[in-house]
Amino acid sequence: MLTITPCLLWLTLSLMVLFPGRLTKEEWLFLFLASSIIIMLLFSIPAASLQSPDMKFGMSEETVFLLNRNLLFPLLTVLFIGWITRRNWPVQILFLTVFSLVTGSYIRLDERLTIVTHVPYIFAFTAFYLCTMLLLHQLFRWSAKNQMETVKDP
Amino acid sequence: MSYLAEILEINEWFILTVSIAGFFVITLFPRKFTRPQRLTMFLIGFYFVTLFDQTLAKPPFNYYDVNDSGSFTIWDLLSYFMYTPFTYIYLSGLTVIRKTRLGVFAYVIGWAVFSILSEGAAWLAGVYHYNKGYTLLQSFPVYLFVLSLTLLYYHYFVNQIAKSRSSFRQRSN
Repeated sequence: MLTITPCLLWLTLSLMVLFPGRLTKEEWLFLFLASSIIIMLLFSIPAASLQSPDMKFGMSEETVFLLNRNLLFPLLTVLFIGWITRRNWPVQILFLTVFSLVTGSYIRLDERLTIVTHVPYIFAFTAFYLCTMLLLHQLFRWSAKNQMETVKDP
Repeated sequence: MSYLAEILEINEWFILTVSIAGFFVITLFPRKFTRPQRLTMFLIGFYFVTLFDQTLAKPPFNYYDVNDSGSFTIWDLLSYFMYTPFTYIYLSGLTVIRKTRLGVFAYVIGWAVFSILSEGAAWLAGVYHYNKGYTLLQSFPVYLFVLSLTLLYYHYFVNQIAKSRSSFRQRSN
């Protein structure tokens, strides 16, 4: 995992540079912050189990866990939303399936260093999380659009 | 009220009072930012406190505990909300001060000192319990870092967009 995680992080960043998607920089920042907060809060209860002796992490394992939690998963979320924004629904469903499978498989490689504890139906859970983020993004865009219209009106 | 006094401890009263006072103060401010900007500002405050509490207060660092136990409780979550109005107040103040380099530098230092004093008050109230020799002053560089990053947000996301909009309006006129 100490090799795979930085490589996957590099790949995600490269894809973001090469194919940035259709997000404004405000949307990008909103998604990064919102997904980071949701992921950190979701992990906060299982992360408490790290205090038990059988779950103690070494420094390298902790680094991998922090890279996953603070960078890789939020960036993957932003990449996913960027790629599916303003596309028709069959493409959106295809991307949702691909992203859920890729992220779920990566989590299954080592659950301890990605999500700390075992979560059943991880693919469905990932898809649900991505749909939630998509909904939050739509609300943010609607809010921004609404504000612009309010400014234009007078 | 007496029932509340019985079930709530000083740290919990501190979190409630500061959160309510913070959100009340920002309602008195003139609305200088758009709704998405306000939302992002609240998220920035929430993000930084969550990031540092979920990293520095957890193993292997364990530099401090939040509230009464080392495990995550609803009061920990409420304590994250306590910080969110201050990002808005900090950025609102930036629109008021004279934006010379020295002025902005002094503003950031002033806020870092204010943040340390506030954390000191929270520590006295029992919101934070330091471990492993961690002291209040060690939070100072964290505040400087966070305040500077928030300043970058203002510069690249709020200020530049406002400038580009005003130049667009001038061109269209």
